[in-house]
Amino acid sequence: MNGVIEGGWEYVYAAYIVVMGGLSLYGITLVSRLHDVTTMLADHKRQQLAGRSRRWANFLIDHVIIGLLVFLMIRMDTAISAGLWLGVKAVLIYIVYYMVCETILGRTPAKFLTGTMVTTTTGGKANPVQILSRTLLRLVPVDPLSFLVSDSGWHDKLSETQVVRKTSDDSNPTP
Amino acid sequence: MFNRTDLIFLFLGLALVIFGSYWGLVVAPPEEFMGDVYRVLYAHVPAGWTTFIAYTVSFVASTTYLLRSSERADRMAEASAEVGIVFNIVLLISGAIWARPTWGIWWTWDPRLTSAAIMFFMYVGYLALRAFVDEPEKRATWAAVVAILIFVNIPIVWYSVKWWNTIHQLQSSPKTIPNSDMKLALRCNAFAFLAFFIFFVRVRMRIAALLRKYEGEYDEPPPRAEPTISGGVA
Repeated sequence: MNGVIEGGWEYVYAAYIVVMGGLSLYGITLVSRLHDVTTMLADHKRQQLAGRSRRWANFLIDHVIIGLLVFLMIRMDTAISAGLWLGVKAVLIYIVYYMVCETILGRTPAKFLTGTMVTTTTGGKANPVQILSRTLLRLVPVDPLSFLVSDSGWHDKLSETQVVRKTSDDSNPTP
Repeated sequence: MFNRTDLIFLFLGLALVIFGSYWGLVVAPPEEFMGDVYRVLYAHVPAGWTTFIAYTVSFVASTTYLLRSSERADRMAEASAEVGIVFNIVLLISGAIWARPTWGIWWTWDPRLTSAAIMFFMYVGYLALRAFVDEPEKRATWAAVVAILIFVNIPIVWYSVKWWNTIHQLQSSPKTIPNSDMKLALRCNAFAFLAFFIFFVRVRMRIAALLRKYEGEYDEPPPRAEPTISGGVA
């Protein structure tokens, strides 16, 4: 016996289990945390974005109002407009309606009723150019169809805006 | 969830640790005096090196934050400190396991062991400080100052075996090991742990970025006061 430690494999195995097990456990915990945080953010996003039913309600109510405005215009127009000119006027009313309501208030009358509003994708106030983009993109006939495949319309995505539910609760949840 | 770089580091670490462990446990010969117990050091020593690397990265990132107010640097400081604590824990426990058959005791208040334990508690305190401060900028600044202050202990831990009369052996390094199989096992595990460290830090930084995004959306006032939105959506 020259002082060499005999055996000791149990200590070797124990140390390896502690080191490798500890690192594995931490790795699994990290992945789990990453998944949880990602899910939490996605949930909040889903929760805060206005759903399709609200968006369809906005669409219908606003178009009824715009229809009434166009009808009034026709009634008030002393000169009988030709079809094309009438169409241009109707489009102008359409643009002015959205521009005025969403630029100044962030909401149209329909959005007041459904408790929703327009924001940028980061939650800020949309600027007039974004509102104009939204409005013009709405004129593309197939735009409403985008809601069949997504909670956001093309006019939202391309103008980098969104419609969110406005709530009076301004609490600051923390993770 | 993971990008390609993450997976490269993860699988590189796994491949190296499997090879290194096999080499250390099967191929490398027993050490002259410590016998097979020496094999504990193939895991313990790389854990120690990685701990030092992690805390050094945290120190550098904290300094960078104070100089440049870089949010990314703050996230890196936090992530490195947390990952460093994990390596520090396995370092202390595996060290105690090695000490039992070698010194006959699990723990002693030796300068190296004591300073390593203090290092661990200092970084736990650092993370606790981060948890207690809600305001992101204040938290990052205070944490950076603390990370720089507590880094003073790292050279003390490293040189403790030289400065004081200690039961702990001098730092192990490939230069101090005569056998090439032993060197290979140690090096493989060291690079494996380094790869794991990078993987962990990358994932932890991503978690921090997501949490900060969440905080930003819910804690910061919206760009306009009225009407308020409950949680802007990104």
